[in-house]
Amino acid sequence: MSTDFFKPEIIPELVWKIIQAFPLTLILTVCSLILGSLIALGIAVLALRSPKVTRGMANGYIHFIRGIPTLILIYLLYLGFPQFMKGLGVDMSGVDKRVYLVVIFALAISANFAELMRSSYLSVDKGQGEAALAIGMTARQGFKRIVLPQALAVALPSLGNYVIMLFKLTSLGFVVGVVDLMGKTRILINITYGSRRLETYLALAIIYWALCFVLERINKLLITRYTRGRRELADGKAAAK
Amino acid sequence: MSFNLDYVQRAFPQILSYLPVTLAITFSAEILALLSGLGIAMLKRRKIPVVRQIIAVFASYCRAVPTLVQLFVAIFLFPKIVTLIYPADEFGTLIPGIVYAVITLGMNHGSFISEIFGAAFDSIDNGQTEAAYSVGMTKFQTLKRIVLPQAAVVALPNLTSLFLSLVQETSLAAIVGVREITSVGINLADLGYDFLETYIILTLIYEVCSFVFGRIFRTLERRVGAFKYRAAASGKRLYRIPVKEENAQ
Repeated sequence: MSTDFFKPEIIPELVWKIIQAFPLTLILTVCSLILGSLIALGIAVLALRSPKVTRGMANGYIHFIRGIPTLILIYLLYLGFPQFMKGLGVDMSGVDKRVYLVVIFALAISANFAELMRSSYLSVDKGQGEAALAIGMTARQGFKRIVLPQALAVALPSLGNYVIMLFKLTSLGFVVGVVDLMGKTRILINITYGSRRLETYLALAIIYWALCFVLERINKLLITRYTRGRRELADGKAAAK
Repeated sequence: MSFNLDYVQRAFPQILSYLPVTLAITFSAEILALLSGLGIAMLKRRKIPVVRQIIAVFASYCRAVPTLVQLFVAIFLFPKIVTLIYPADEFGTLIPGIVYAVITLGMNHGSFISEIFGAAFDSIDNGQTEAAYSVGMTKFQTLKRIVLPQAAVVALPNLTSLFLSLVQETSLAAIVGVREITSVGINLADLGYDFLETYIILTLIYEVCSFVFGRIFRTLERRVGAFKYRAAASGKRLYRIPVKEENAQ
């Protein structure tokens, strides 16, 4: 076996080079997280409204987004949509790639987010909101102080998983040519004419692994923070017994 | 609107002819995932010291690293391992990429499936097993008649959503060079810049796949969970058996 079969000693250096591209991955993740939440909020509100038409529309949207691979969604919107707009006489060539990606990733996660928002809102007992109204809170106060914190506690574990999912999803952005973690990796491989492919991808895997570990930790901290109310209640009950 | 219908008529059958490849990847990966998932779930219950840690690291890798990166790592790592074991003619590089893609997707999903299986078995009350033993069933009978039917009801909805995501993840194999519907579509689109048409075709194919598989699995779920309804209908109705309600509002 020749000596350059596998060189693990160059991985730390590669990790350092690839991590330079982290800011873009972070920006993509955060921006699409915000935009995706807003879209999801709209969908969830539609899904919770009583007329069957809006509920059907929301469900249709959720099923559609869940049925399409994100890779195809990227190609459809990044390459197909401008062609469509060109047919209508609108030039889309001035729009930044990253804007496309943010919108695409936001759409991709909005279905899961909407479903999560709906189910966690419904998981809070109706009596909670009614009790808030009964003691004289306005509907808005009741939602903000009573329903939302409880719904958030229910949603957090899945929310954390979806954020990690979104973070990993941004690795697909390289297909349109942005230099995020994945794009940087591809550049490094092209520079070395593909001679150190395995090591470079391993370095990338290590980076994602470490970053996801951090995200999971943050999620756990948040869960402890937001379920405090429930736990105190449970402890109180145990003490009363 | 410049929608090239001529092209659609030409490209659609061409792309569709590769659908069997996509389905083959999906099904072989799913079979591998179910087998490895069952294996990992059983190993996990044994709590063997070193094996346990290896499984934990593997599960963490599957969860934390994007599937695409896993595919890239596998496609460059596996040939080296194979060549190391069987050096003749760089044997590892002769194996087509689709095999490595199937192994990667299968093992990745196997890790998730093992968790679903574990949770499903945990959800069955110990009293069920004990009751089966007390009426004289053997271990195998207990598993087959009492535990598995109940565990399947718990596991199936999760398996469904995992399977549907597997169908979509096969599109990533296109990036690592497997010729299936996505990569054929990309090639066709690049030839004549017919992006909109191609990706609408691909969207349609994937949507139809998801819809059909979703329907099949929902029927399966109902079939597997049927004993609950049967018990409820034939029993003396002493109590109401909770039936899963969708969108309870």
